[in-house]
Amino acid sequence: MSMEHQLGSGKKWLTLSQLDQVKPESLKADPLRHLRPLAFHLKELHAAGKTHGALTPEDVRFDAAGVLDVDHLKSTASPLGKAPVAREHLLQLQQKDAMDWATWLYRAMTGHAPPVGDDGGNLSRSIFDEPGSAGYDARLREVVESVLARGPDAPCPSFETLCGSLPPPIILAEPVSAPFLNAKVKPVSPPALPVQRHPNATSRLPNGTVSRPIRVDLPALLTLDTGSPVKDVTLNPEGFPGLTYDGTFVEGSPSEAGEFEVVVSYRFADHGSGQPLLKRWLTFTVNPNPQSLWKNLASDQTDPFAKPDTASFAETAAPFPLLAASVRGRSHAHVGSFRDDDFAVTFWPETGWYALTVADGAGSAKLSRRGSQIACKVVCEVLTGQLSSPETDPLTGPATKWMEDTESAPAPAQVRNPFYNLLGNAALRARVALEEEASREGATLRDYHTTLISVLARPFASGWLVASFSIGDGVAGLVGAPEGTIPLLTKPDGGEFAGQTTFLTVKDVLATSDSVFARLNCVRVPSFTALLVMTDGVSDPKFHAEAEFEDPAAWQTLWDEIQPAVIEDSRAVTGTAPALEKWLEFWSPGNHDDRTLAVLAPHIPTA
Amino acid sequence: MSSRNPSDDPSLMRRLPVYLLLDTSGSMRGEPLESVKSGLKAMISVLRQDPHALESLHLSVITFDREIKVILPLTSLDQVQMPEITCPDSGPTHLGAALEVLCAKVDEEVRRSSEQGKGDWRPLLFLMTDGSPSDKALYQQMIPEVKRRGFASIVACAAGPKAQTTELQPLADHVVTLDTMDGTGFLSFFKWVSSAVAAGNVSNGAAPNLQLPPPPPEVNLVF
Repeated sequence: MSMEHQLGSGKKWLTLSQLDQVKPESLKADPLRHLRPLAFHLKELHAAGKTHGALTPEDVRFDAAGVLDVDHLKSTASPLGKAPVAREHLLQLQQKDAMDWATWLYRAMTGHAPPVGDDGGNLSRSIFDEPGSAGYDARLREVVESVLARGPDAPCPSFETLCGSLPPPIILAEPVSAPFLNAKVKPVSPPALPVQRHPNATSRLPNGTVSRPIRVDLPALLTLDTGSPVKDVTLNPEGFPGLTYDGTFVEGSPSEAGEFEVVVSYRFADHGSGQPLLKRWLTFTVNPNPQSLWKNLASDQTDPFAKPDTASFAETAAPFPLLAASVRGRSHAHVGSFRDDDFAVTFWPETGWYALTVADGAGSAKLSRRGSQIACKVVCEVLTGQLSSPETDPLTGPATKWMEDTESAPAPAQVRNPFYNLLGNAALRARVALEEEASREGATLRDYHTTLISVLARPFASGWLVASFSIGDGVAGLVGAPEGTIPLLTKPDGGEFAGQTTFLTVKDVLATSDSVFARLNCVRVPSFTALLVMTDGVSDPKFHAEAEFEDPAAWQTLWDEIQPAVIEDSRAVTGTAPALEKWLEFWSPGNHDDRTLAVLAPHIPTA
Repeated sequence: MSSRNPSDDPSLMRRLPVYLLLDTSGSMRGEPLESVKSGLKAMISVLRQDPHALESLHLSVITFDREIKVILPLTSLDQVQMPEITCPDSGPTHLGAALEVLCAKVDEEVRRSSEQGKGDWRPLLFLMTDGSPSDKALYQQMIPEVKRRGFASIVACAAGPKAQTTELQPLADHVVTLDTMDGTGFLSFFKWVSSAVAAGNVSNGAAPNLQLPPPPPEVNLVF
């Protein structure tokens, strides 16, 4: 083993036989790393009308960088290879070079010499059947077979052909350390065999996802890929983690994420059983299940503008259940940022009015959590200023007249104007409060971008009056109003694409009385089951198109989902709404915004 | 509303469409193209670990040289199986024609909000070229057409010494350059694209244009 040749420059070499003994795993992991330069050199040699003719593993040696010592190789060539020889003789010697090279390649891949059959020099067993060779590119194995298993009369492929058929250089999973010359280096565990695919010899299953069931007709897939019907399809090893194969279907739920490969064998349907079994790779990519990737990081509650990640409130003193809950969306939880939504619900027993307000801070506005918070707070204050006492209540008088009026007309000016004044003013004051906050904090109004929906409701002898005001997305609507009533109360602002909406803090939104009136709606209904006010974190997943906002059945379906939680919370009388909070955590792929929902439910079944 | 769930019906989900336009002209042949392929592979691998991307990202890859090939039509990230990308030996760089095909594909594939269905998030466009468009007149003509499609961000990468950033500036919101067209350069670029896409998933349409994350050292932000 101490066959290191010291050259004048102090260079050290390792021969192929030494490599085989000292660092076989390096050879095995990437046999072409050393054998490719040899093949290319031999190709040039043969093209020049020469040959080596007497290759031994001692003739082939490499330096520390893996560079072939060409001079040495030339100096050890058979004398016959150096002088011009008769063509047949030359061809024979060139063939020998190819056989030697291919034999070393075989040995590197399988760990043993090729088993020779009785028919003189040919493989008695295909390299494809050698379990040790399963990790190698099919092209590489085909190259070996083309030399060693070509049949007694077939011509040996030239190095020109062989070099052109080799797979490209690969990148090992772990770098092989250079100092393989030092025999005392402890062998590391073999690097993972590289996974490579030959485009023509690979079939792919459609990608899967962990825990999502699949069912694929494998013979049908192979028929498509090969262009001809197939039969006798088997997999080796048995298949992929989590899946079973019954001869036709690959099915089950993948249990692991990753890239997987097995060898699939098959025959063409019109071939007899004596015909060769064909093989190709079957690859399968399994994605992790996104549900398992979502992180839940607590937000920094020491931040000056921190807000709890979850909040809820239930008004215990109102005759009818009035409650709201707001939870941080998964997008924010994934990065530990704050909930940007907010809400306020109030009942004034002195005047009998209910108010439900929700606000959604824009994701890209850095203080929008504060924007939604201040908006809800100020709206609540302004409404309380008028509605907490009959003396200051501007709404009930005009509203009563209209409710007693049997003509089915839209709300007349005398009714709309007080609502315009109150709700429009509340929104305006909220905006002013945000401007003041921005100025105090050295921020801009844009940093506080928030939507706002505010709904007032009061029961009268003949039914309910409901008035809504909205800026931005999210919706308010009625469940269970009499047939023919449009359930939708508000007109959401949207754009061509998702996420495009407007905000309380946008300049022109409250600029004219027309623009304010356009956002106001006043309706009277004899009765309804529930009034729902929500941010788009709830309306987006639960309504599949704008058209559904006007479909009473869609609202009913949503209510059916929510009702049990509302009943539970209203009976518990704790002042909070934990069941509704829990409902708001429903899973909906692609919908990970903050979610806020306020509910007024005059027709909850009593215990 | 039926009890249809986005889990069961992919047509109910808002998607983030991302278009990659890649120069495969003759000058990309060899190591540059291999590096682009590895970079793409790495990008997809990184994005597959991001839950936003796995759920919402849809990717399309269009290559351009003498011909324009939609090698990957808009496909959900979890289903992407990247097909072979090849380069001809030589030939022109038909970027103008590529933009024309891009506009047609966007019109066909990207969903806008309507009464009947939810709109996608504003699409993103990443363009990589190592030279200059051969079809200059068509290129100029297509610039306003591309702008009309509502991309949240158009990022152009001018790779290597022959790429022209001035020509890309009228088209793109951001232009970056890559000094080297090797594995490291393209890997950095594609990883940066992944993080920009991930940011695109999270920020909602409040800002007119997407705020991009800071680029890595190999990628120089020109504009």
